[in-house]
Amino acid sequence: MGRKTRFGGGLLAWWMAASALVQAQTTVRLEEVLTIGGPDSDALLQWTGVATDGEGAIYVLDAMDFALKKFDSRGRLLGRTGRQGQGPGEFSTPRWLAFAGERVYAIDQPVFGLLVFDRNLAYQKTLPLPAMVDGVEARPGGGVAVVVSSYDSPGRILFFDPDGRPAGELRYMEKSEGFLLDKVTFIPASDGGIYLGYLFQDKVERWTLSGDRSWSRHLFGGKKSEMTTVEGFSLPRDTFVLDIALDSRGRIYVLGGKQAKNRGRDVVILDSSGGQVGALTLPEPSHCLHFDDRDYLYVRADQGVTLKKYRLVFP
Amino acid sequence: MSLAGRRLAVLVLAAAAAGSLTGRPIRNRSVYLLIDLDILACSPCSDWLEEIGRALPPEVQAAALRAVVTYRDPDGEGAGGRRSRIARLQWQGFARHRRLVLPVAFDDGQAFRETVAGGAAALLFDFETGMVKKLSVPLGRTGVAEIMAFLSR
Repeated sequence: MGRKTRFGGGLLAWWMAASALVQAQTTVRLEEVLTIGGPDSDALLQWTGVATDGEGAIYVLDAMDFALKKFDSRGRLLGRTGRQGQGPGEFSTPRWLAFAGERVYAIDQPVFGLLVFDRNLAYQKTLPLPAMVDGVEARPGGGVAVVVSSYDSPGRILFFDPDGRPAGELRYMEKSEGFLLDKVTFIPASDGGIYLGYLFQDKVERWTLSGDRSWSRHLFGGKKSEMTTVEGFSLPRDTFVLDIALDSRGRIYVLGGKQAKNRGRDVVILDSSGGQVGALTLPEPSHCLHFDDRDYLYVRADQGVTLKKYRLVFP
Repeated sequence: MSLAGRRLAVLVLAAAAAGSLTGRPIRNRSVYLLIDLDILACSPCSDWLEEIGRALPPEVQAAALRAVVTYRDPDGEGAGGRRSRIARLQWQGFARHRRLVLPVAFDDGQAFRETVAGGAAALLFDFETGMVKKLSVPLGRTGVAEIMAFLSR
């Protein structure tokens, strides 16, 4: 073995040891601070969406109870609204939730619109949208952004101002790359950017509001989803990114899907440039991540009958 | 009947005989619904249950319908375990909103897990003739109508 090879081997060993050390140092610990619901409580039956306001209140969409519920910061139920149906303020398949500018925005999946409630859960109106909605997020400074799903016009995120007026659009996919391949989870950043995580593709990206992609990176080795055929449609089978969230320091949290070692539990933490700065593993699988303005993390447990709130402890 | 169908029938009858489900069949006929808890979270997969709640009066549900709910229990905790309690809680909420008042048993022993994992099955029993018919699920309106016709014959 030549000197160069020996040196290379030594360098590799050092790098591997250093990487392991860095990995160990950046594993984030979770401290549970609140539990809402549970197997012996009927507070939640199967929650799907969560949002928080600046006063510490927690808003939860409960798909199995067809309700929007509001809890105080100690987990006590303050109120609930909604029932099964498709009328004003009713839900058939409630999914996502956001709080922005004194309003709670809810998505009922079959409805081409955003259901708007005040912070006391009184139904206000439904903002019409051109297609089925796949997610809603609050925008820093007010207003909301929604991702809409349409085969003819894929890859669109629509922005609304605090009064519900259209305020622009981001196209992150010009034409269809395949059925469902435009499905993303997203989060607007305070610097004007927007982060996307693809459900059926190994991609996390940062975009500017003017429609430029700042960066794109793989978290699972650039794998492609296996496809399956259902009723003649070719559909992706593997999930990559289940949700994406941001803390107040601009760190990006990416919840891994089927491709992760621990599906719905492994979270990769990235900096605003897309570099990995840490990782954590949730005790139980969750479908989503949500941070409040104090950087508490909210996730699902017990198949949706429990909502957990955690403090993140960085080493 | 196929081997799998016979096995299913035996399992259902064993569950009934064990007394986990009570009630007298209407004219010696009963409908057993084997349901994976997971489908309750999926509207298109569980709409047929809502249709049953709408179409069948409570007294018919109580007398002639039986549900067996199976659920994931990877740690094998069984009855009284966390998963078992979650299954009961979610079924109660689901049933309440859909006017389902049929007697229900929970598959704490995971006897049906392999058979209906990720789906459901509807089995129509005629105890007089010994006939068993399996309907494909989701049932849709036609399937629910067939159940109604079966119970009113």
